Amino acid sequence: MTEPLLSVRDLKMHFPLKKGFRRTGTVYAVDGVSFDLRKGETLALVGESGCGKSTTGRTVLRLEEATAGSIRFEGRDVRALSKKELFTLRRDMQIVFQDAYSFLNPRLTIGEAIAEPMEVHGLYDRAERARRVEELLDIVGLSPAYAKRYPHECSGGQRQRLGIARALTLQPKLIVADEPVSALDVSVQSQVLNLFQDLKERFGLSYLFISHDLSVVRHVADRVAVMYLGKIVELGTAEQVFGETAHPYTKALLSAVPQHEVAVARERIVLQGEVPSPIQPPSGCAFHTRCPVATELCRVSVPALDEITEGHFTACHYVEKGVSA
Amino acid sequence: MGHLLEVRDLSIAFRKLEKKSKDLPLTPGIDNVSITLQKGETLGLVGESGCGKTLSSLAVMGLLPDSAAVTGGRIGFDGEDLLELPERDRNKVRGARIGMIFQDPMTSLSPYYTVGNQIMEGMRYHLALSKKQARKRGLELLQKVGIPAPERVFDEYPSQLSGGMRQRVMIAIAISCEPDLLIADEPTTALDVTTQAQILELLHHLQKENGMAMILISHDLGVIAEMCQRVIVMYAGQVIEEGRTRELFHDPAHPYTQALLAATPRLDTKQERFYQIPGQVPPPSEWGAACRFLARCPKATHECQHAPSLLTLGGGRQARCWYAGDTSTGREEARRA
Repeated sequence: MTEPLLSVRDLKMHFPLKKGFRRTGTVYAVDGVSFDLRKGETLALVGESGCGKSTTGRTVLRLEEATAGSIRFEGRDVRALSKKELFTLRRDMQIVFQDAYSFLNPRLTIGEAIAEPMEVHGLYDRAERARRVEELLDIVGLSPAYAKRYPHECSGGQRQRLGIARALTLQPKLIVADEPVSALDVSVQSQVLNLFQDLKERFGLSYLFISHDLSVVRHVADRVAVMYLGKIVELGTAEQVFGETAHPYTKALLSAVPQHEVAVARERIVLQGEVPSPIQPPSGCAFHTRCPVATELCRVSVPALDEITEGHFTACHYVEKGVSA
Repeated sequence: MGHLLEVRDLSIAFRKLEKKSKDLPLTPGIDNVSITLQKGETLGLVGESGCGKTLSSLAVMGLLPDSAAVTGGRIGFDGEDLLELPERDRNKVRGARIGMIFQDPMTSLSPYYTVGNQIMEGMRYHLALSKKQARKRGLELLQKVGIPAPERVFDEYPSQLSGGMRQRVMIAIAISCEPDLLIADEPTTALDVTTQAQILELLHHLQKENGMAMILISHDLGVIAEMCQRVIVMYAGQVIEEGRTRELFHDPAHPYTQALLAATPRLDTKQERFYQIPGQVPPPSEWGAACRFLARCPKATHECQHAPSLLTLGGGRQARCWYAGDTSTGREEARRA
């Protein structure tokens, strides 16, 4: 097997909780996450708010400094890079945020905003940059006239296209897409998702696709990692995770998604209570407080992320190896 | 049979507030919207942002912003036209007989008052309860909506609660005066799926228990399908289709509904590409005599230059499309495209 584009091992991100100068606790936002992302692949990180999926994405790009663990991008240790080396590496790894409005500078025209990364990295001359801006707008399906407009003149879908155009400026290999379609209406959402798919084929991009929406993930992801309270509880191909769901949390999550196809009768597993606080995560398996099949063992012992069938991993004491429940 | 709610041909328009001239043309918000609802029924209102679903419900509630004005139609509620009522009498309906839940409880709950204060406010005003009685009922309500430690939460501020808990508080307030109608505007959109499942179950349960009617506004077709008996689909300020949930989702008549369903990602099958509705919703300035879906519609012909009114298809089905008759072929086209 070829070397993965991105390899994350035992990544931890612990935020200190402070009251004044006194440290009063720790938020275990990401607590031992490992995964590989191959070239040309889309790996989705799914989970509910606070599960650590966004933090994982940000830490991978070193927008946050990880507490522990290793991040390798094309074999290079990202965490050991100097500021200067990191600057160069950033050309290869870009991010698309949920709301493009919050990161686009309202005083820059769209053309200027897209050209900015090229300027920062000292690429091309002015004329070439202008030409490339036009090309990028065309790639994401906007007319060149948009280069002269300002962000507030654009709709949500258009702004998201701009966010993508800007991320593509430096011809990255990896794009971390953090909830890229969550703020969009269905008809616009489908346009943007198709755009993601097209760009992947056209430029051989790899995506770390962060989303809470399982129906979206079902269609865009090659592989899926389900997170709960800072840990991956299930990891596998989209077919494995959606078709041969193993972990009780993934099952509950899937059963909770409302569907408009009434034909399929489904049994809904309604989880009781709420996601526990990552400040004091439960002992043992973090899901045991809400798990319908939890026993004493789950309360005391942390299950490892074991391979149950080839490429399908799950962290549960009660999923047998070799069979998918 | 008498309807609980009977909105007839309601039109609302916006005026530009900063320019004081009243001669300026109004920007239309919704056009001739009709909504009827029986006692105890659940009606879904679907559509994308800006289609007018929230505006319609705010009008029923009597909470239109200052910039909006009703330009026609009536809102019948239990035999009375709410638009004719003086503000004082309107207050007796709002919050008491019609309750409302909003999408984001953080912006609709006051950060300065405790949860308990906010629950008691409505009951003391509408039901003239003493503080003691209101507190007792408030605690019961918190218990009823599934808040684990009602006594503690009663004295807490909204900022101390999680999103799901806040939404439960919102629901407790909305049902505190036992309304005949509950309007839930995107009640679960800000919540995680497992919390959403809990809240939907709670609403369903409360509705059964109190026999209250509900208008559920959502952009999520799945939520609507699971909760509602009847659905109204809105597009660009108009009702474009109406019918019983099962039939409407199974065999949508309007090309927009067909496209919306085709574009919605599903959990049970994998699509390589999503059905894409080309273009965008037209802004009000471009609403003319033509069908408002014209530019995006795969079936549009010259006939569509003149938009149809809502055509009755039988079985309570209505659709605003000249070609709504042959529904199944249209669906195939949308799927194939």
